[in-house]
Amino acid sequence: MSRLCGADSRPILPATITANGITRRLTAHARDRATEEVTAESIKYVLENWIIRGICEDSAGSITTTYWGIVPGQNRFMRVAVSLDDERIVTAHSDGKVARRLNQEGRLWFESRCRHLEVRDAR
Amino acid sequence: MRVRYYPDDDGVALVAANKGGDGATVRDDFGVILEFAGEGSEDITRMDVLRVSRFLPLSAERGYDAETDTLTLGFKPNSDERYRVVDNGDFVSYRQWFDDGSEWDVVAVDLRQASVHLAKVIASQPPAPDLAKDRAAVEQGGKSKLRPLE
Repeated sequence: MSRLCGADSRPILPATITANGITRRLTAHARDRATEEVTAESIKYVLENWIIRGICEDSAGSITTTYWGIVPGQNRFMRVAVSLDDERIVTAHSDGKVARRLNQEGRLWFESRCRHLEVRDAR
Repeated sequence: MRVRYYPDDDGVALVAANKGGDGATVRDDFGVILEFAGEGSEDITRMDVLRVSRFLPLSAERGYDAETDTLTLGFKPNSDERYRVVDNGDFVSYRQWFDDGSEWDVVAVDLRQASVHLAKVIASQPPAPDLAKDRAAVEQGGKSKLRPLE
């Protein structure tokens, strides 16, 4: 089942998602981010078929292992942020800036924010 | 505006409309997640703030303007920099041009009526210690209720 429903009938994501044999818990906030595009299946897909992955840190002090990927049938990247202990999915959302940043020579945006950056060819 | 507060995650979602399509984060704050009205739209319909307690209590040091009840998340551009302002409802976003592929990237968002929208979050925060009262109690021979720093 891709989406469950909360008490007020809003769609919510399941409590856990297993991808590549790793079961991760979703935060309450992440569970509440269900949309037509952000589903359990699409999150699993991005975690298993990411195009960009890195340990990313912003100037506000947030550090996560971040996965970006394109789910088949969707025309933009989705970002899935996982806690550094690899136990929690912190958030998941569409990220419309990624394609242009990725195509930019040197990938400056990623290089300046992410360590251990890995980039795969889009499948 | 519908407000959903997640105390265990220290997060809040401010939802103006359920029309979300494209998304992004504030340029230098991945903890401020934005949703826009649709493909190519710059109007914010939802903003999620993770680690929201870092903005509390609301104060000038944390980006709050009490006169206008506006909280700024991110860093506003300097007046001599090239930027645009997109004003919709209680969200005002500041977009600055970057040549790293980001193009017009959101560098800051003003949240109008911040104290109203964040009321649930503010109410859940522990009260700040009354330092003057504590000092007076100690001066009169009583014990401090403050815990020493470790």
